[in-house]
Amino acid sequence: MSYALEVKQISYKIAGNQILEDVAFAVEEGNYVSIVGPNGAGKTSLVKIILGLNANYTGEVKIFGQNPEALQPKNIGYVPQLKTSDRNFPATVRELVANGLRGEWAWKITKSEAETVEKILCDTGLEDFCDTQISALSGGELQRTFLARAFARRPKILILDEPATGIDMKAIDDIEEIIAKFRLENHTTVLTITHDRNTAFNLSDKVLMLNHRVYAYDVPAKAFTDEIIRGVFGNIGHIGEMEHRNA
Amino acid sequence: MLDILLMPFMLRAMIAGLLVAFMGSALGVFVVQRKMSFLGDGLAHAAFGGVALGLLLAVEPLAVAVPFTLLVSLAITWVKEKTRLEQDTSIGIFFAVSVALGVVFLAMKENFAADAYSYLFGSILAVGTNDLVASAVMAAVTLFSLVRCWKRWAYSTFDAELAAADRVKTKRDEYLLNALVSMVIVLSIKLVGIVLIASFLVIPAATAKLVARTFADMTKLSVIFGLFGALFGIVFSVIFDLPSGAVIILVSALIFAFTALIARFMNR
Repeated sequence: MSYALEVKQISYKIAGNQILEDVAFAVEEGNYVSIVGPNGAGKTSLVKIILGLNANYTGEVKIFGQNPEALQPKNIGYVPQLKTSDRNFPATVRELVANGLRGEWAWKITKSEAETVEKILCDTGLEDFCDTQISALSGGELQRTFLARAFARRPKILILDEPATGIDMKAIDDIEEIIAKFRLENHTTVLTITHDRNTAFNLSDKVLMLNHRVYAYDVPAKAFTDEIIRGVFGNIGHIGEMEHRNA
Repeated sequence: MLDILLMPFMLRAMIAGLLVAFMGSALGVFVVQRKMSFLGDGLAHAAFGGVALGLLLAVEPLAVAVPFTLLVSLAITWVKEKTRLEQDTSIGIFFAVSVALGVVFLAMKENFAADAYSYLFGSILAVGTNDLVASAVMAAVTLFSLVRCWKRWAYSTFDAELAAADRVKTKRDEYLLNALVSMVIVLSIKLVGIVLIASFLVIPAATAKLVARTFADMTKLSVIFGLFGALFGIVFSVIFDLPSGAVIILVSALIFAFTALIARFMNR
């Protein structure tokens, strides 16, 4: 069995506060894994460690057998939370996707890059937005643009930090469909942070229930038990509240 | 009038003005887009502390202001990186300390007013051959840095986390960018004056942002607006016998106002 991602006994503290404690799990190649937990559970900290953005931890991370810092960035497609990027930055949709293709900002987009970008934009339903400035996009359109940006280098693993936050249900459905299509075509591994337990239940091969430590890492039916949900979220969550949208 | 414009001091001022305008407006796009406008003010006031120390020690003030300002710029970035303080707070601290030091240094020197005036408000008469050489060297360094780093700096200006995920050394680049900005500020002192330097960095870039669709366009337009402001500002300051710095800023502000009107008209 080959793993896209192996997280081994990761512990991480900020100013004496234990953010992550002995977190361990492994993601098989091609799997879709959701990280579910309340705010402040350490989900984004874990993703930053996996991406190699934070080196102040103990334990080990391997992505396709390599340390994150040693891995070619083109192998990872990262979609950050929408709020982290500067929406007033003067850039068009085409430029943002070209940025994903290059791994740097483009002074000028070459003809061959432009062709590749056009194709990606068509695949993600953004062909009418090529020359639109990102400041003029809705939250859903911007999130689709970030997805297109992440797809540009055909990454082996896609890491998404709350892709559904701040966008409407229709846009969420569109995004899920685009990810599913890309995954099917490219056999891409997906690791996503989500607050939407229905989505996690319906789409994931496995769910990581996290609140500083791992409460469960299993198939959705076994990860979303009343006991585990109560352990992770306290009394605010209950399996009965979840609607299986695919049902 | 043409005779004055062709006099050696005027040509020196003109060339130095265009060089610092190029540097200020090209780096200004990062200052504006990273919401670091206050950094320009902070470093300008740090330069005031350095200039005052130079005047007190009776050595070339800019020779003291360069390392002084560079040190403050590194300290501001370090405090932001290593503590919980935001950059504006860090700037606020160094801003106040530098001005306080400058005031104390000047108070310790007799008859400082005339010297201090030209540094505070700028004077094209103060631009010497050494300043011109320093500006040319620094312009070459800035151009080289922009050619090498623009794509990385633009990326981390848009989203530092995404850039870091692509292995861009965002922290190192921030130190480098802030150090370059501090050098440009010191070199601009004689032309624009300490009081107005921050606007010199900000106005051309802000003007460009009003109409640019891409960051590359914003950079190009900022440089064009910066060069125009400096060129016509210096000419008008000679014609009307006014401080060069103030006139450069007013000309740049006129370009800004005109562009804002055009941008509003275009967006209707």
